[in-house]
Amino acid sequence: MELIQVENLTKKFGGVVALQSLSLKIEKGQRLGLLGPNGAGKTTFLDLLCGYLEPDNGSILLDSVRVNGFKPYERARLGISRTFQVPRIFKRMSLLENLLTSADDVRLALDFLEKFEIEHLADQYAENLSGGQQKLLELARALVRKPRLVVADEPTAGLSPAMMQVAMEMILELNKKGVTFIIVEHNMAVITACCDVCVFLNQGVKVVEGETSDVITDRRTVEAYLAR
Amino acid sequence: MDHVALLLQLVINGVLMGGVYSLIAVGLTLIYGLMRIINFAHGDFLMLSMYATFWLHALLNLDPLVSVLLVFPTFFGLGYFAQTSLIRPVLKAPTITQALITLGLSLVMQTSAQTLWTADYRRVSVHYGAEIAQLGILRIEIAKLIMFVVSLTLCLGLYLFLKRTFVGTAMRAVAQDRETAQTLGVDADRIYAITFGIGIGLVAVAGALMSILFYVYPYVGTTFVLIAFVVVALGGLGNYVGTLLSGFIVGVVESISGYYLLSSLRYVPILVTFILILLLRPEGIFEKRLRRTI
Amino acid sequence: MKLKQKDLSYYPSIVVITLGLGLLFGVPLFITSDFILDVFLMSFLFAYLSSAWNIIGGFTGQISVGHTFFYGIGAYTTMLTNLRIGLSPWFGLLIGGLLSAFLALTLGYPLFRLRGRYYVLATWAVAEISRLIFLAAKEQTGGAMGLWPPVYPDSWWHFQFHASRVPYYNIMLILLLACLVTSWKIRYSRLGRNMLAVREDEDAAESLGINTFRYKQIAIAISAFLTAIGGGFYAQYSLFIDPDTVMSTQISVDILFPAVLGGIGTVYGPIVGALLLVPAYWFLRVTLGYSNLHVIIRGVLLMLIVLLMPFGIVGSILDRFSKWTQKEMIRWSSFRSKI
Repeated sequence: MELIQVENLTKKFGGVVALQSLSLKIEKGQRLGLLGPNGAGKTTFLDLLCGYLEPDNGSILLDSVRVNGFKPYERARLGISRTFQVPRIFKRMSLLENLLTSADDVRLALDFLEKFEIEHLADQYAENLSGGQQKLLELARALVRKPRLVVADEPTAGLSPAMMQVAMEMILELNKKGVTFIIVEHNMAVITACCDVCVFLNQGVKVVEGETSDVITDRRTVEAYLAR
Repeated sequence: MDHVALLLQLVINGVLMGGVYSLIAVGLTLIYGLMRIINFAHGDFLMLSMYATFWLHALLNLDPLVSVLLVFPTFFGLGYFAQTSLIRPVLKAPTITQALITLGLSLVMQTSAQTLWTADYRRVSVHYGAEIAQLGILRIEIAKLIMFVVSLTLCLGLYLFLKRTFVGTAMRAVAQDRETAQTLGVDADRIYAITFGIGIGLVAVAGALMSILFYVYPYVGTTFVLIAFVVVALGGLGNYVGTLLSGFIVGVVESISGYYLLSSLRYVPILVTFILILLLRPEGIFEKRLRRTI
Repeated sequence: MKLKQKDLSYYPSIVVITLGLGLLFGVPLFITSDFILDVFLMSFLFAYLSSAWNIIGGFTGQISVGHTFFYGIGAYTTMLTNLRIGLSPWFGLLIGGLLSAFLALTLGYPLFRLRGRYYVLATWAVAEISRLIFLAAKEQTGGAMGLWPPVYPDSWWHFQFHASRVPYYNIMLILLLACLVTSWKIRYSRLGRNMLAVREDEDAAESLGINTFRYKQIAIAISAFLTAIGGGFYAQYSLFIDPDTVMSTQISVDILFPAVLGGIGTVYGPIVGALLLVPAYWFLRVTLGYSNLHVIIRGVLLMLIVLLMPFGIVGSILDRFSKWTQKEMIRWSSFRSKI
């Protein structure tokens, strides 16, 4: 069953083509890994999906509903959550308040904080956290509102190995409950552990698509991205 | 006078006046475009220059056109000094801080002017202030013509300066990309100060010119700087040709509304236009909506 | 981890607050000098205005330097409804507030599309343009001559008191408390959290389903409403208004500076700031005698303060204080939410 259907998505910035006629289907419950070198168009794709950018061409369907033109908050209300490459937490609000803006459930919020081992800082301003802790807070904030689809941009970047483990376990656990994931990552270990399907993007074009093991061993992926 | 001739007359008046508006606006867009800082005190430098010209005339009988030559370097220096002492420290500070500095400066300048020279309206009376040249049925006010010529000359001069001289090019470079410009040996701090100085110098010249025709009082700066903002909004930030043309357009609008409405309301249509521009160009009046930086 | 029961031990705070209130209302019993009551009164007024500003400027992060616009609308509405149709100023206050909110919402459509400093510029422009319009429209607004109501003997209906300042004092104090409670309730509610999210990071807020435009509108409507009522109060207190006294940029600055100084975005910050600044202003005015000199000195001092602390005008002591209250209040508000 398709959750997301992207057809012929194109986005240009001046003379630069960020995405070229991208077509993609994402099934419900999938964990899609999005791979590609820097500048491949991954973040652009995420922005288009979540409504921060409008495509020059093409359409995006969420549950067969065309969401082109829907503002980011409207798409968020349809069940999409997003984390960003550089964590965009609410700095001058406490950790607890950060989560409460996402879901008005104190118990659940504290549970998440506990899982990410930052519960003891619940009343601290978020700006006082370390980079890795901020990443975790952002992830918690995205998850606590029980989204249907989580769009995560490098969710484990900057995390300690232990916390990386926690984040990945969280992803898998939620996925079992039916949450779909789109994960942009450069860490292949995370991709292998977390994602069942992958898409390799290069210079705005979808080059390889399929099961994770196939994609990351595909010659095109290896040559253009993984090897030197 | 039939309607066509009347309209033509109003248009001519407007274009002539528009030259000065362009001059003020060009100074504004220069500062604004480079440092992205909103100088709420811009109009008050205009006011200060008008007072300087007035006093030079009243005490030393100095013609305003001669004052133009004096005020430019003086106010350049003033602007340079203001930038280094007041603006530079807050360039990287949050918007509220920057706003407070220039707002504070504006208030101090206005209140000081009122304290020193009272709120009385002053006037510079020069013989050519009322002279008219006849061109068929059209009347051309000599004063406005002079203002127009000087303004245009300066705008052209600025354009050439930016395009042809080293400092001008450095200014454009810093406006585009401060870091890169610095790696090429440009002292960005100094460029900022020079830019601010030039911007203030230009608006001071405008002030000296305007004192020929307009009353001088402590709050005269606000009206004209608002008009200048409209000009910049219409013309587009950094678009010097656009700003020049917008100056003329705004001048014409003002001229026409000044005729058909009560004279005390002559500026209202333009100012209301400012708000309308905000409505019609919701992507931001001063720059195209940048791609959201995500 | 459960929140402990003892967190709900706020009885000491309630006692302190009650004592404080009693003292404040009791002040007029001990102080008879009109001058001192005036200082208190004006401090309350600006604490009130600053708190109202803080809702859009501090909580929601949209820095308006044109709040004098709402203040002036309130003042003129109250004055004009009184003069032209004989309406009691109390109704005038309300109408002024509603009109102000309406204008705020209308202006919000174009203005909130502007980012950061352009919004700031636009608010300033709107206020200045309005001042010029009010000056020019002499017939409707009295222009530079100003407006003043007919003098009635002391009366609550006519909102005029001549024999003593005390009624004004009490009214302003009540208004301040109402504003404080409103501010507090907003801050520690879902509405407030969403406003803060808008302030902190609009894109991130949107990613959580928060309609940032809507919250900006709510914030400015509330702020405008409250500010206008403050303007209406001033109209009845001073019994004279003109564009330069109620629609000038100086007022906009005087409204927001206490919030910035005392702690922008906190509940108590604006009040603390006003209670420090306004008496200081009056002290300056008294010692300097010369009517405009003190305004110049004020402006210079403002610039100096800003230059000394460009990256955080919030004093470190006050910041630590606000962090403490923040911590305590969060635990309480979250305890009140479902457990």
